This record gives sequence, structure tokens and C-alpha cells, in this order.
Amino acid sequence: MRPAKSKIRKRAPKRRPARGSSKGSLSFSEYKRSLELATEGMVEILDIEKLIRLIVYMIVKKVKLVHAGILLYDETKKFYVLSTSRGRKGSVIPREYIRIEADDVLIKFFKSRKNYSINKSGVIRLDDLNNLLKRKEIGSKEKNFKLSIIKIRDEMINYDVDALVPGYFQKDNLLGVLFLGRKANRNKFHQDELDFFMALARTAVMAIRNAQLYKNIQKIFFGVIQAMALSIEKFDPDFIRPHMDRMFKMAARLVEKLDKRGVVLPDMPRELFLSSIFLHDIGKQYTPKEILYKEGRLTDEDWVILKKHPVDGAEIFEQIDGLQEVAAIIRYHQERYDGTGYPEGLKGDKIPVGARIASVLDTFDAMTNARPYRKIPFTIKDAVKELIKAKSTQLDPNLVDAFIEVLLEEGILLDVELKEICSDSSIERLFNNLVYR
Amino acid sequence: MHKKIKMLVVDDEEIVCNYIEQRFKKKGLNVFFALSGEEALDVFEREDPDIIILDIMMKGINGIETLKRIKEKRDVPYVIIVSAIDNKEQIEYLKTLGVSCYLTKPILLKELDSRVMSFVDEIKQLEDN
Repeated sequence: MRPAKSKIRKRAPKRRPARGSSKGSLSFSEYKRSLELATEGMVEILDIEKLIRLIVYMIVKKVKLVHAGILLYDETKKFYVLSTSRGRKGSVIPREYIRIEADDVLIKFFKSRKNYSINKSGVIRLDDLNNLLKRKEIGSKEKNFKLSIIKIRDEMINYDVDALVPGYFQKDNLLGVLFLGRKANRNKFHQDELDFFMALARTAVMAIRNAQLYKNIQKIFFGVIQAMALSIEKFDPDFIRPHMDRMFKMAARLVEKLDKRGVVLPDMPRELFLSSIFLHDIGKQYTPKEILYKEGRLTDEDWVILKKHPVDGAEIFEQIDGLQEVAAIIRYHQERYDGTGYPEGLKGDKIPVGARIASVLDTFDAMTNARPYRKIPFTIKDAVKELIKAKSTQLDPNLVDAFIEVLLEEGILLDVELKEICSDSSIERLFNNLVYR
Repeated sequence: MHKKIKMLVVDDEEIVCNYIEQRFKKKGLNVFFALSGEEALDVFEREDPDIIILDIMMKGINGIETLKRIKEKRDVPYVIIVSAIDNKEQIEYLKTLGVSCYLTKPILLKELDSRVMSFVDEIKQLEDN
């Protein structure tokens, strides 16, 4: 029995050095692996906040730091903000709480790439600064350099950080700086580690830039779509901006509700989907004003011309790659659920859901506001009554029900009013799907 | 020997309170914090701080209201407002309440340090006289 016991005892201490790391810190191969894992997919995260949270989390956890943070350039405000931080209570610098000016000595030092003369990796390590200041020869030759070093050292002590890792894009554009607090085990940062941090910073910069560009493009894109939707105001007498704001809110609530119920919505950003619902009448810019503003009944010839607007509008967006779904909403918003609409006479679920939603909202809006052909609008109660009557003929019955729920939740329609509508025997049979009774 | 200077930090973000507390403890101050206006009034009553760092936007009674109620109890000349709102009217209004120091978030840490430490010096000088 004895020899067996001693075997176990002997084996145990052998395993520790085999892991290859000195106490608490990772070996270089482990670092490389961590880096690969961390950077995998980083460039695909398009949400900036989420991305930088992930980077900081990864560093604090893997390297076991007391705290870490990311200082990021704010292009509109023209200064650097500590946007994310993580670590021990009391040590961690609150996020969005402190800023560093763009002309701060630290930023200027990094921008002029003097950091590479302190450590070949580019990382500024507190130890390196202290060692440098101990050497006499700097003082006499480069007074300004020494002064900068002293200031940066003081700043590092002030922020309680042991290392600063710059993130550059292009040549001397400093996107941000990684703030690294000391290690929990008080060990120093190795040269190997510094190279790892620089590599991580390079990938992080790429990912952050990517996310920023994506965000900017998306912003411009939504801006263009919204501007187009609002341009309808210029030619369509039915389009009244305050109504649109209200309808937009209701549409957002309706879409949210449908999403929760598992209704399949087009694969596009929600904002874009909502905006395109309001683009449906953009083709009316080609409809003569005499028809749009006509007070009496439209003639058959008038109708032929008016009915062109869904196709005219859709054709604008069909030109743009990736906006086919938007075009479809516009093209089919005048289709009817029973298949008697135009331009193609699509029926039921064949009509895109966005077009069906646009149809419900537009019908409601048309009834509750004055129009050239009807000076006195319907009351909310009467309009809802008409919506219910239009279930399965003109409108998608499920969407009508969901929309009525939104009206109730928003306090636009009262419960009492709905009860009164329900008591009307002529429409009672149409209530099959309605949740509220 | 001077008595230890007491500072009250009022901010609804605990992480901010912890950070400021830790930071100025190292500089020899006795720091207390409160996560709301209501709590601040209690701590004020109990600890009678010399310096107050105050956030404006808080749930419940906001920073301005908190300051007004504190001033009803005792006039504290050493107040530093740290707020995300950069509003001239508000700054002017706070001046009428006797606030001389208004820092906009994100702040310059050096500025906060120097304001607090100059208050500390002033208080010590007053004590000496």
C-alpha cells in the first residue's frame, strides 16, 4: 500500500509547473489562446457598448486585474471619456464619469508615438516611467520629455493604473486608451503580456471602428428614410405631421405586440420597418393635385390614375438593393384581405405583413381625421366599429384585434366604448378573435 | 492637530460613491455617502459634514431640493455640484443658493481633486484663525 501512496504524492507537485505559468499570470501560449478566443467574433459585434464591455470584462477576468477601463474618443464632444470600467468596489472608476481633454499630456504623448521610446511594445508601464526617471541622463538633454514623463506618471498614480495601452487607427489617430489597474496578486506586467495587450487593442480598435461606422451609416440611412416619409407632407393632403407622430407611436406598439405574439416580421431593423410603413403613400407625388384634393366623388378615370400610386412608390425603392421588403410594403398597402384590392389582388397572408399593418393604420387614420371628401371625422368609437366591420374583408382580422388592444392600452379607446360597440348585434359575430370583450 | 475633515457624497450610483469615498479617504478625509436625497438629509444630520459633493438628477428628491433642505438646517459653504446637465439657468440658480463649484459630467478628475483640496485648506485655515 505504501508505495502507491507515495506515487500520488510525487505526482502532485509535478503538475503545477506543467501548467507553465508563474503564480497567477498566464503563460504566453495561454495568452495567445485567450486572445484568439476573445477576438473571435469581436468584429461582428456591432453594438459598441456591448463590445467594449466585453473587452474590459475579458481583460479583468483573464489577467485578474483590480480594475480596468476603456477611455474612448467622443467625436462630437472632442474629448476622451472613460466609457466602460470594471473591477473591485472602490477601485473601479465609474463609467462616463471622467473625461480627459484631447490636449492632455497623456493624449499628446501617445499621438506623437513617444510611448514607443519608453517600451518597444507601445504600452506605457508605470514601472518603466519610474525607472526612466531614476536615470540621470534624460534630465539634462530633454527637459520637456522628462516633464511629460513626470506628468504622465502622476496621472497614472491619480487614476490608479499600472499600464496604459493605446489603440490607434491609421497612423496617429488615437481612438482610445485601455486603462489597466494593478494585478490582484501585485505581480508586474511582463513584456510578453504587453505585446498581447497591444495585439488585443489593435483588434479592439478594428471592431470598435467597425461598429462606429455601422452606427453612423445606419443613422444616415434612417435619416434618409425618415426624410422621405416626411416629404409626403408636401404633396399629400392626408399627411399631417402631428398625426403621423401619433400613428408612429401606435405602429411601434402594434409591431411590438405582434412580435411578442410570434408573428413573423420582415428581417430588417425595427426602426426601418416602422418608417417604411409610413412611406406607403410616397407614390402619390405623381398623382395630379386635382385628384388628390378633389372634394367630390372621384370619376372612374380619376380612380385609374390614383390606383397607380402604390406601384409608382414601390418602383422608387425597388431600385435600391436590400430595400425590396420596403418596396413590397408600399406596393401592396392597398390590397384587401379578401383579395379584392389593388394592384394585384393578393389575398390574406400573401399580402406582406407590413402592408397589412399599413392598411389598418391608414384606414383608422383616414376615418379619424378630416379629409377633402369628408369634412367631419369619425369618432374613435365609430372608427373602431368600422375597423371591426372591415375584418376579413378589407383588413386582417388578427391585426385589427391587436390594434384595438393598443388603442385600449393607450387610453385612446375606453373599455366602456368597446363594450357599447360589442353590444351592437350587427357586428357581434365579428368578435371571434378579440381578446378584450 | 486639525480634526479630520468630513465630506458627504450624494449620488444615486453606488459605484460613484464608492470611488469618491476611496479616493478621498486616501487623501485623509472622512467620507460618508448617501444614495438618495432623503438619505443625504439623514447622514447630514448625523455626521455634520464640512464638504458636500452632490449629484442633481436623482430619484425622489433631487439634488437641488436636497441642497435647499440642507441649507434650512445649516449653511454649508463648501458644496460641489457634479451633474450631467450643462444648463446655464440651473448654474445661475445654484449660485443664488450659494454654490460656487459646478462640475459637468464627465468631469476632469484633477478639477474635482483641486476643488476639494482647496476647500480642505480653507477650512483648516479658518480653524487656525
